[in-house]
Amino acid sequence: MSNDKDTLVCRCEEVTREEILEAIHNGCHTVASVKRAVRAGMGACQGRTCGRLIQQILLAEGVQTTETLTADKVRFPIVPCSVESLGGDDNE
Amino acid sequence: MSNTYDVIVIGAGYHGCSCSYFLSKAGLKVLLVEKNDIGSGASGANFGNVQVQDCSMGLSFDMTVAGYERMKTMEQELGRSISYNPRGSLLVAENENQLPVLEEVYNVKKAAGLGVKWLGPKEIQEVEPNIKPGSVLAASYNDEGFVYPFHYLYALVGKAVEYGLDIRRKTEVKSLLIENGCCKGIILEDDSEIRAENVVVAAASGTRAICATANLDVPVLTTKAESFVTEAIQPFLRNYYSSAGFFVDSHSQDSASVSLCISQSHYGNLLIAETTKPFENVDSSGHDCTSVEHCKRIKEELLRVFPVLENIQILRSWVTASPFTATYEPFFGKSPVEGLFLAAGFKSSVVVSGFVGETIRDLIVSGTSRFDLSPFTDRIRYLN
Repeated sequence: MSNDKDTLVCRCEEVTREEILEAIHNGCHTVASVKRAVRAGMGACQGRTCGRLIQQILLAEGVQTTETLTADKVRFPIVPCSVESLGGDDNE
Repeated sequence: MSNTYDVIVIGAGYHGCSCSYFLSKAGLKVLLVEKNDIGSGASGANFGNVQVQDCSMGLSFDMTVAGYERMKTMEQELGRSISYNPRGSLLVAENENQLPVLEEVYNVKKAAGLGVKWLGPKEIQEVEPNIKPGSVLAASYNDEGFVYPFHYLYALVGKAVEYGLDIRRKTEVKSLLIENGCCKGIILEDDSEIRAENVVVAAASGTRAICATANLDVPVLTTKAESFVTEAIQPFLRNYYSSAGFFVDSHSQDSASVSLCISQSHYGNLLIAETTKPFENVDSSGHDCTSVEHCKRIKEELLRVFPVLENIQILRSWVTASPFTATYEPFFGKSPVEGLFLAAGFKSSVVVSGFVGETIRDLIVSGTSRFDLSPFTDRIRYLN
């Protein structure tokens, strides 16, 4: 049986399953609120790896149903982009 | 969960969470009502700066100084990490246009007794080595601090829950419950009532609409404020950097204002901001979208001062409804309606949040407060 303390859910920010369960038990019932509480989803992959896993945990803990479950909002930039690549060309 | 409380606090941002903590600790039965989630609004969309030198004068100054001292002991007060760290604040004039306004801010703060220091270009370089030489003219430096917003918010709430706080998330207040001219609680979207002898409206951009249901005009305005967050990098910025351009043309009436502010978070990410636009000038479909102006102009402002950042990777942008008032003074204290208290529209929130919570507690528990808050409440009128 894997140990919650030793199981990484968010590998970018190194957030364990134990921390995620604690956040859920403290009232974080959405992917977004879990993210705010423990940083899962704030790293380089922006939740691509852990987002689904957190959703599964939310379902398993019974705080969401398949009808109510949502994902964190996807925001610009869709993939990391350099500051240099942002607009600013005179040809608008 | 109950339907009767001593106090209902509306809004789980810095001030709502602080009020909830201090009131719960004082032994009152408190309900915190939040339309989305803890810190999901402006309080979760900022840099966590404990800002002092940019405050307004008069009562705001007294409150900020008191708040700053209070923030230094909040971690001890809560017995939980809020990641408070001292950090310098650089308020910078990047061009000739910004010099007079920076001089004024500096002189006023110095005369008021703040330990601000005037830095020339060479001194700025020593204090913040990654600034491009020649890109800035002068700066006002002050010793300030910062917290990690979510550690602070969750510490306040977590401790308050230990003292008996109830929380209702995803719960929007439809209206205040007013009986015989007194506030007696709140009415939810399903028309159910929750009663309390006292209600605290700490709802930022939602404050105006909520107070209107008590026939009060509390003009907390809203601006659409945009930021970027980058990948985590090695220690790069030693201070909080903000452009004095904020004082020159912030909160323009019809177009986007951009004023550079940049901070390195506890986790190494750079937080870069700020583009603002009055909310009513933004199409409702665009309220939550990152704007073209933000991308283009932040890039210009940033690379002028920190050209070495041109290849840093931006991970995400976000937008928040950031509250402000026409005078930059908050609506804070007892409202004209019995049982109704306000804590919204602060210029800079983290620094005063501990003080706000304590003061609201004092007002509710004993009808006293450390400062006379009438400058912050005198101007509130009834709608009709």
